[in-house]
Amino acid sequence: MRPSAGEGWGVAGARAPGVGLPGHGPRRDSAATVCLAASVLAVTAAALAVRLPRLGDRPMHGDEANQAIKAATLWETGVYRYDPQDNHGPTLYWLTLPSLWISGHTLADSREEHYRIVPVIFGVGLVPLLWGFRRSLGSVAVVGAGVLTAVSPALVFYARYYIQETLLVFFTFGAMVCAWRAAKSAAWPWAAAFGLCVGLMYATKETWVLSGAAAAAGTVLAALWTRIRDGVWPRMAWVRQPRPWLAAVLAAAAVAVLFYSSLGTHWSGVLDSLRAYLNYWGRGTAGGEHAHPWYFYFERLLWFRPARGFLWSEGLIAGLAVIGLMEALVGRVGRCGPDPRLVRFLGFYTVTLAGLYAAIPYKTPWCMLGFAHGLVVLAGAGTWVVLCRLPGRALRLAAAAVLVAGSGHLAWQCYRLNYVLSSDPRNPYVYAHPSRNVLDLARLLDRLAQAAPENHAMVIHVVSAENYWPLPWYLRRFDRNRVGYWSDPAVWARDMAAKPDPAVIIFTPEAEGAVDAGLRVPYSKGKTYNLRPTDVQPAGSNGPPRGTLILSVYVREDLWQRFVAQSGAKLQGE
Amino acid sequence: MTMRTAKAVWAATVLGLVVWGAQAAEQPGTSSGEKLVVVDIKLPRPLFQGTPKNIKPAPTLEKYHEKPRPPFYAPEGVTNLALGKKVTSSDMAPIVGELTMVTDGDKEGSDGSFVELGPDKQWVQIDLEKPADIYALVVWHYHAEGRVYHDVIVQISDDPDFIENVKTVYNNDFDNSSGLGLGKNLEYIDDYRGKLIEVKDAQGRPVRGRYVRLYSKGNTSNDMNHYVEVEVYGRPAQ
Repeated sequence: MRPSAGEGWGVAGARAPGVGLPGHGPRRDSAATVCLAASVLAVTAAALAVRLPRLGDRPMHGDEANQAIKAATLWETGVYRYDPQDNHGPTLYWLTLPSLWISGHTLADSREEHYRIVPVIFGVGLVPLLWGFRRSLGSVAVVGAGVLTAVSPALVFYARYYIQETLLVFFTFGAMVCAWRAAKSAAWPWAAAFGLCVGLMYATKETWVLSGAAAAAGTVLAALWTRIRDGVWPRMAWVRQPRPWLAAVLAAAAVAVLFYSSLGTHWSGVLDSLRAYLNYWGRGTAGGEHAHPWYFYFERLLWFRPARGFLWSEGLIAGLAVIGLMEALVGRVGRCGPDPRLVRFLGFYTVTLAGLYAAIPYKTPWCMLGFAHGLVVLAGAGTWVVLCRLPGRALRLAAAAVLVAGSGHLAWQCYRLNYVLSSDPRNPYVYAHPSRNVLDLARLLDRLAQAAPENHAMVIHVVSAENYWPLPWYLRRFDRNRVGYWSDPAVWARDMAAKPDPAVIIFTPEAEGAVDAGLRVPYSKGKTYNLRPTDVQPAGSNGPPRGTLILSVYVREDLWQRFVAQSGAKLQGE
Repeated sequence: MTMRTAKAVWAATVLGLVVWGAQAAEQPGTSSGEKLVVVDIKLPRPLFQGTPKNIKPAPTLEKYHEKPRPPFYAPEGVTNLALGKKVTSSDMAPIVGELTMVTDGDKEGSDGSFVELGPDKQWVQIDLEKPADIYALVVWHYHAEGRVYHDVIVQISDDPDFIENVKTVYNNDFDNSSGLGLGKNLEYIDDYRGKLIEVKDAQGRPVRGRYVRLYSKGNTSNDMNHYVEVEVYGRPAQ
């Protein structure tokens, strides 16, 4: 939809190299559009290629495991109930159903990739969404932002993470594109699409309020800046028309209610979705074990040096974003290049969102994704400045070479962080992540089940006052009625008196005394596994490291002997 | 010299003779009756003190002592054959450092003196260039902090692919998670002394081979595999 001159937020009469605006004749326009479409498609394919390989390689994070079990439960039972205390909104679970349906798997035989494919699709989808801004940003900025989306280590890492964050970023960006198009055209379908995206944001994660607040602040601040700098108020064609408003509100409400009421089967979920904000307000402001200093996100995104020889930085993106924003702030509406009003909005939105997250004590690194994506889109505008505004062909060529090298460096970081150090504490995006040792524990349990007469119906007790996730994910193949979890060792000891001797007991060190006292038959002891590894700590320190969680495993002696006999037999045959 | 001083000198002399005699009596012999000498294993400076608090005692873990290791005896002529020899690995693109660090003689353990291999089961392999009779290995995985490396398995072979004639001389994989067999050796805490692994066959003789391969599978601090140094004590096969 092309804006008419002087209408809405559209660019009137602007002409610039790399900006696909009318004025070069229909044939050249058409060729430029085809060229841009092909570029966006190619970048989309590249983004998919970067995100797709070895999706099941990284151990499940506790949060991912929790989400996966909820999605699989919805798939198996058809029942979902929103929990205002935890787990966030329902879209992730519902949108996972097609993957589970296509793969034909249940929880027991599903694998990590059946879940992680969902954020991958939405993460890749951020590239074609840029198409919606092609007339206002121009082809260079769109392709630049697309390439940076494809290789931004943060965007790639969390697009392979089965949590809500990438979906929230996608819906937020979708809302921006639709609002922009609605503002320019006053067409109610765009307004309805905007409402749909806002409803999906609401149904995805409670922190959508921060994205919404930042977008509102971005709109107001961009309008004010435009008034000051250009002497005009932006005219949004649809503001005084009821039809687009109505379409937006109805679409948002319908989607939100549909999801939170579990398709009309659980109406109190809608009310719970409002009650949840009290809980999340308390959690966000308290911080607790996730309280971090204000610069937590910026350190991880811009300059993270966890050990000698390791330095991670998305500084290229931040630098280009600053260049793009500065150009928009000092430039004037109507000059060549990306529409400064859109870039100003994106800039104020990104800065506000970053400020809000920095101010909130509760911090987990994936929360930075919203403003990290804002930086990427702004960096697209910065790319245009660098490639098209620098004087002289030689300088522009040199800048292009630097951009190519910088993008290559981002891609190299992307590879290292996603395929080499995907669960390593030196990775800036890894946070409270299980060690790969948990995979050994899972394999041991599966092999014990093969040795046990009752196979996966063998009884397993887990005794841990600590957060034992993602253990339930790795025990998903076992009969759920025969796997028990106790947070209090004393309660376990009391319950144990009336239960048969479990085949396996998994416990944390503080439960050892109670577990030893509660044993009635001999157990093979001493197998220990790191559920969560050590945080980065200085050389020479031998104090208790933060975050370490070690699990001890006792195996009933008769089962252990069976297992040893089976292993021995295998060895002789090799 | 006072009487008290004279008594002290006599007592010290007698005690010294007793200790020397006991050591001489304990000195292991070889089936060929060769003279054994103490192998001089140079140790780096310690990088941490005391028992690491983050590692819990377990029946599958050697009890940690800070006292010096007893001397290791071997026939004359036994030296570190690994020094400067070629190293290959399952991870030929280490995350930190170079494979040459495994046999470069630098055991300091600080940044810049270890190689870091990727996660999961990884191995390094040392080519001694010709068959040798191997009496012992000393392995320093990482000793800047107390760690236990999982599934430490040491094999010797004259086949570079470790398909034929493979002798496993150490294995502490207590749950066979590396798939090379259930290990009967205990896990241990790495420190500046390194892990001395005496190599003997069923008859108490050294093990002959040209290639030494060492496996590991992550550690108690992270998923990675590290080597500061590996020394292989032996002498060329006759």
